[in-house]
Amino acid sequence: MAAFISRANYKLLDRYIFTATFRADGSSRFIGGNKWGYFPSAGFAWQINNEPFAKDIKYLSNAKLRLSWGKTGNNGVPNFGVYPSISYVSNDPTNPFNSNPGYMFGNVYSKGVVYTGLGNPNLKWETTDSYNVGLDLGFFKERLTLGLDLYNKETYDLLLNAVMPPVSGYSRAIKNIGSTQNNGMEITLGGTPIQTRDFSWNASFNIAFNRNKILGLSENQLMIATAQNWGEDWKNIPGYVAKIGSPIAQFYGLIYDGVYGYDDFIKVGNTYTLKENVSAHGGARGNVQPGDIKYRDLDGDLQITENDKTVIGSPYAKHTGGFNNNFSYKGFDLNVFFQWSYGNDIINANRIMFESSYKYGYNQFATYADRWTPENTTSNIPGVAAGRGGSLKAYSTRTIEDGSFLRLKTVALGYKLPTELLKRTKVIKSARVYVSAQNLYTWTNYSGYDPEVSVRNSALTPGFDYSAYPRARTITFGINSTF
Amino acid sequence: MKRILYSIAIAAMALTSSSCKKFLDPSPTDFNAPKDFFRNEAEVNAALTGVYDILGKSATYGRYMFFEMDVADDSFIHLSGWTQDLALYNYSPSDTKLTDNWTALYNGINRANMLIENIDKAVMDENKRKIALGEAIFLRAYYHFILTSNWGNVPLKTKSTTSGFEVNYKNSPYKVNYEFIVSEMEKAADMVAPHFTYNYGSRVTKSVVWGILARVNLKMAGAPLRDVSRYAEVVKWAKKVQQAGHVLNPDFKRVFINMSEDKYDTKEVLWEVEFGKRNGTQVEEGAVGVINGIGANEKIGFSYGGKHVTNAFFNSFDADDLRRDWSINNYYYSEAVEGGKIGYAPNQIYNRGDAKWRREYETAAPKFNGTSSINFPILRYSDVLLMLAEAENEINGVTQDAVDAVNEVKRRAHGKLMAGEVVKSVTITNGGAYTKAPTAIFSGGGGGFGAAATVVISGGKISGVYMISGGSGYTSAPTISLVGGEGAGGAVLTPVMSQNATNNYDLTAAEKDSPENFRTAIRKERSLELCFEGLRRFDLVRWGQFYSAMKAYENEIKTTLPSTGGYDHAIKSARNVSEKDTLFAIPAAELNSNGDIIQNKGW
Repeated sequence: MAAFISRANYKLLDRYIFTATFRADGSSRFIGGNKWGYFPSAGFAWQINNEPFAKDIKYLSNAKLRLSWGKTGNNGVPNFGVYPSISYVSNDPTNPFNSNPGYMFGNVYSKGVVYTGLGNPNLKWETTDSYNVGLDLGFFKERLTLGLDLYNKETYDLLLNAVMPPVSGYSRAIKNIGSTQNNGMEITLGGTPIQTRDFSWNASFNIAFNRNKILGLSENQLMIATAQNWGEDWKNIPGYVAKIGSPIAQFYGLIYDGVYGYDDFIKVGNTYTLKENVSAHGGARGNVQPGDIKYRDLDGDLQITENDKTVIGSPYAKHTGGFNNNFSYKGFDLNVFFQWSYGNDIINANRIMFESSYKYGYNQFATYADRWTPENTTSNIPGVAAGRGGSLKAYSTRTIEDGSFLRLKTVALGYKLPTELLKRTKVIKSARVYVSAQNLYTWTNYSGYDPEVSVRNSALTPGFDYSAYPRARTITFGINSTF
Repeated sequence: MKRILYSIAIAAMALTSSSCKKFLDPSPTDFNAPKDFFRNEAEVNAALTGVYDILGKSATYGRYMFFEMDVADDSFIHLSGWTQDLALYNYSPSDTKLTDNWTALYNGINRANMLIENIDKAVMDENKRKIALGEAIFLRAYYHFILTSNWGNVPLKTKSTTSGFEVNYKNSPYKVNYEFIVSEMEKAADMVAPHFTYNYGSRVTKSVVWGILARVNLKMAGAPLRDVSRYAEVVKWAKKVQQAGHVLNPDFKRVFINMSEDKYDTKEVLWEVEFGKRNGTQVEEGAVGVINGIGANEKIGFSYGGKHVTNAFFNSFDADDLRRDWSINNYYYSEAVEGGKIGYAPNQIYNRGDAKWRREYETAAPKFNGTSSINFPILRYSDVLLMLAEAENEINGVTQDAVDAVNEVKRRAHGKLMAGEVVKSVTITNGGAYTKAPTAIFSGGGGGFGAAATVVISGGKISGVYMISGGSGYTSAPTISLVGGEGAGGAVLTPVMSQNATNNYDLTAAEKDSPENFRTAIRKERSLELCFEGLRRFDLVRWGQFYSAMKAYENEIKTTLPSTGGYDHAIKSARNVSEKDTLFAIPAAELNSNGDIIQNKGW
């Protein structure tokens, strides 16, 4: 990489601040005219409380309005991704047919080559346009502060190792594809509610709202469907969809409608035949039995197909935030920090594997003891579908859960030993003992181990839980001392 | 008030502009670019090997194409734990195996396209270039053939992919595809080497191209295209194979034992997929004899024994047909007995299965659990003879050429080309008195050897003798002596020999008296000769009989299912078949990323 950068600052009348920056970045990952990306930015700040009309407001210690705009770039692609490539070896997990390209002729091994990359001579910088408006206010000599930020970022020419159709002979190709938008608001409120000689309490609270959206995709695509490869048989079942005008990742699947009950069938002898007006569940009508999982038939064709799949959840939180408190009393200091997230959904794939008997020979969660059986017909958990488990191989609202949580993230208590005491030791200059705990407690309705889970995370596949390690609660004791 | 401009800072981290250009222009060091490849014969061969490589994947002839994708009315999947699979005809378009087969084939087509487009750059001998190009052209057409016969209107890909923005591929009508396939193969026939240039069977040679051309034309004459003018083409190409010096191996089982022993019989086996070992690791993902074959542990060579037969197919072989007890095993392995094998009783049919490839004959070591080095036949000479007869009958009725072709296959099948006789069965002349079963030893009988059987007692005397092998080469009946066991003894067992030298196993008069009867006889002969070789479903579909045959099979299983249990899953595939299963579903992975493709009807 090579870069040029230049910046100019100008302050006018001690209250109008102008900044302008220009940078040019060149990357060897792009070729020809696309090597260089140009990223200007500019900002303006208005120190309102320095204005004549505001100077006399005694309680206002700070008032600053900030406006800025800038472009930043991203060149996160493999070093030689622009070039098409042939190789004698390939370890690309997305194209397993390229591994071991040799063959035997007459029992003699012959080396083979495969085409490991398509290249893309037109690859160029991904650029983000950011717009920001902020207001900082301070009262009572900064005893109370308020910050408000509004932002809008548009990213275009997204660099993506996009999925290619199998007919092309390639599994992926790097392209600049589409554009997305993130906009939102952050509010920070801080203050020192109590300040006495011995005791003080300083608190700060912040909350953030973010929304993202896809503005455009390429090649006339209206949507990208992505799968999470958490099991061989799931790699072709997309659980996520990205549509133009909608968030970057949304959960995609069927709507769960309970289980089939005896009144959905006509009983003849010992055989249960599905009633004419009741939809099947993705398998042959003759195979549906009481206790099997039921999905909603959205297009009314009495069968569950790809057309009955729809958006069934969103991994993004409506808001997130934190609440930090610092207390001090004489030699003691206490820090208590909460964080939360509200409105994010999670695909709990553990329950697909361990609460549905879809796969032969696997143990199940204790919750599965309450499944539908002829003796327990009020249960909504699908019964053992001996030989008919195929209908369970789909994402549905049954295993999408609300991952909202409030977490007591940190509690840290410390005590600074008084200097008079330490003087007596003649060696130790200062000492502080402390105990601190992380992840002490989480309030959540999520049934999995950790509502902040995101296995095999990527921009297109967030919020997935399968076989993840739980988050550890840690407690630490320590001493800081200087000699 | 004016303030001087506060500060202007310029930070430059660059070198001068001319070295800047080179600085940002490194070349890749760990792979080649296509424009720098294909320089010489070695690189052309490497590219060609890459095209062949696709034949050996698990998703193609390593397993799926003879196991999951050839489920028809001659066998059932004997893996009771399976609930949803391509093989059970209850799969969805997102099925992994379905997607893998489709993806592997198009990968192969792209590799072929790259070679075809770049081969002229190489500095090499013109003759060798022509042969390599011919092989690539043929393989590209062959992969399209598998795709078109299994999926119907598949995209036709005659150029390599050059840009990541090529994502829309339209369905191409199968008529157009077949015409492309035939014209490409005819071109390739003139370019590739004559068959006996090589002493192994995995290369594409003239005989291979002619034989596959016969198969392609036979498919075009059948469903769904039904272009009956194609039958003449079948005869033309089959006759070219006939005149190239090909001969049937006198011993049917030797054809398949060769594949396990890494031996080649290029006169009978025109084209096989090679699987092998190199430096102690497996080359190509072959599961021949592992997923099918006789269930076995790792000492013999691990096998799931995953394909079993039912009564109707077993009984369609006549009692003298030596193919029956080779294609379908009549014994199972047991370490509890001397010899390691126990014969099945006559009523144990569902226990038996696809045994054409037996790991007990596999020579390459070590024997892995998931893969084997047993080769798989794509085209055999007997197939060509039967195609010749089938097409000839459709054009000209029962002609001598057609009858001779079928009789050649039947005679070999009944051992008429081998010296000596085999032990057909054993009669219990005297059951003797036994409380524990003895072992039967066959000896004498002229130059013969290899006969073996299991002796079973019931009610204090010998009640059954179940054949394990008929042996071969007997010029007179061998003597059976009984050793071991417990009891007074005194049993007399008499072997019944085959009468291959004197019996006539040719087509009967009834089978020849009309084109309709002859057609039925030829179709039956195909099922007996080519079972489990990935061709039964293909044949049923082109005869327009797939759905009706599978439903008839479902009825048969309902009536013949053993009441002792353990085989209830046998009916799954036949029961799940519906009309749309004549074609496979186009994979969801394709539908999701290809803007122009349309799914097959019924899916």
